[in-house]
Amino acid sequence: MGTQDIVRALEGLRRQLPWLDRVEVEFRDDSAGEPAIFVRLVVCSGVEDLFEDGARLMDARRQVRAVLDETGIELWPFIGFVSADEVEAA
Amino acid sequence: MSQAEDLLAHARSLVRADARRPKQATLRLAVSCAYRALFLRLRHDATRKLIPGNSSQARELRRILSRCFEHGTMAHASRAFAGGGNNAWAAGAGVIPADLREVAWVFAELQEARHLADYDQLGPALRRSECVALVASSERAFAAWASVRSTTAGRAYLVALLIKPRR
Repeated sequence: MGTQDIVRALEGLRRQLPWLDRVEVEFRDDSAGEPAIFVRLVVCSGVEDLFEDGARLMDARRQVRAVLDETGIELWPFIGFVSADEVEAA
Repeated sequence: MSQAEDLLAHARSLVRADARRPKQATLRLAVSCAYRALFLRLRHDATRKLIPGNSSQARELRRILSRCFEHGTMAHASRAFAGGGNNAWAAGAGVIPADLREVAWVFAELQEARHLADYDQLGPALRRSECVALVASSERAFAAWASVRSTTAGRAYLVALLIKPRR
């Protein structure tokens, strides 16, 4: 399963996570040299309070993990959050 | 306030600083502090559980023990307790409470983020929002840890952070 397949599967989470603008996925080694999958959830404008809410962030991580488990990916997922505004401004 | 809580508060103040144009050094330090805070919290509890008491000998033994923690062992244990990878301590701990899985997961996330923040200055710039999320996750992990630190699984996690099981 390729990166785009994973992105498509994760973007299906928009129903449960209405603040989700898009998903970025990268396969690379982690800092210990072990293969991992890095998922970045790009968050729509105007949902700044999400970044302050550790419980909601963890809930989103769990949902991403569930989708990844369904795809059969066995790599450890690192899951980050960033605002679309900041990504576009860069 | 403990050193761990001080560091967590410092991480929070750093991500709030210069909200419009935060400096990379400030954001990177915030991530580092958020990780370090959780690291210290767990290490403190592990050493206290293994060597209780307030005698000078107990304090000295805790000081020695506190220097035996290895970040790699802690990461592997954390992934296992978060539901990824094998670890005899995690397997033997029985049902792992959701709050403990969360602590372990956040620890693994923060350790990786901290590594990039501290050692990959030439890599992609950190965004303020992602750093705020990491600090909030660390704060949430502190709260979750308080509810599971005295459970059997919580104690198994503390041991797993220190002692790598034989395969």
